[in-house]
Amino acid sequence: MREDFAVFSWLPILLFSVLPLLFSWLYGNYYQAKKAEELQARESAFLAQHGRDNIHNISTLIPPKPITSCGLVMANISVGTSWWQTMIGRLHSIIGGNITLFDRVLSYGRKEALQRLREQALQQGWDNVINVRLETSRIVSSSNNGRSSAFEILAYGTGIKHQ
Amino acid sequence: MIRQTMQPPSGTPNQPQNPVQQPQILISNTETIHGMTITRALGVVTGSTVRAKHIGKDILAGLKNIVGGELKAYTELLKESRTEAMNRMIQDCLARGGNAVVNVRFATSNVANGASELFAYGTAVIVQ
Repeated sequence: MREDFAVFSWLPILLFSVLPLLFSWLYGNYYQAKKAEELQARESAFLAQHGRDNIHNISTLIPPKPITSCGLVMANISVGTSWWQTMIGRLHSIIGGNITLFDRVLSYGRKEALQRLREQALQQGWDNVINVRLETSRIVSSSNNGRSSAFEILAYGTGIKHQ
Repeated sequence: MIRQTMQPPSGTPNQPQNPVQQPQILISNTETIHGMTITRALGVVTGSTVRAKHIGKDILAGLKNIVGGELKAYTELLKESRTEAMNRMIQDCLARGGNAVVNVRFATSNVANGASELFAYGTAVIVQ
């Protein structure tokens, strides 16, 4: 009788700690993979449609063309690691080494920011974007203390029009 | 809303002028404004804003974090805040009598738990 009670007292703990993590592991991996696939499809569709990439990291065009007007273009995204990934990341950071789970989240964020920059440049009517810079910062949450980590990625550059 | 782009006067003579009588500031993160000449540099102009997240949004974002991926609430908030920082930079530029800002850079830092500082800086110049 007493042992039964012990089992039931563990149940809420199980419900609030292990189950979300399990959900995070099972559904989070699926969700992130789906998003990455969608992004890949968008990228290749963009390249197929326009035949060339319209963002450049250098500050001049190669070959140079006379530029008629310019303006700033920005795109940002904030991404977070799932609860599961955060937990595994912490375990990883004890032994050190490459935390591949975080790699995946951040590289998705960067690619997404760049893709948004491409789309925004197109939408605002710029022919090309030069001098593209990427910036990453960590968002610290006030609640949910340290349980999850989120990052913001900003991509910006100068949109140009040329003849 | 301050327009961040401007058509050069030489390239488009037949276009109607923008009816909004707000000053037009050209912004670029390259060292020159393409298609125009810089006649004077007026020094560094800065604009910053510190923004804390709404507690409700923060909790929602924490829940969304179960599966990871994009946190739309934060994306929107930071976008707004950055626009605000840029507007302050533009005001600084106007106060100095410039009409363009070149070599714009952005920086972000965490000043407190749950608050981010968004910072924009560049060189105010006069272009023709």
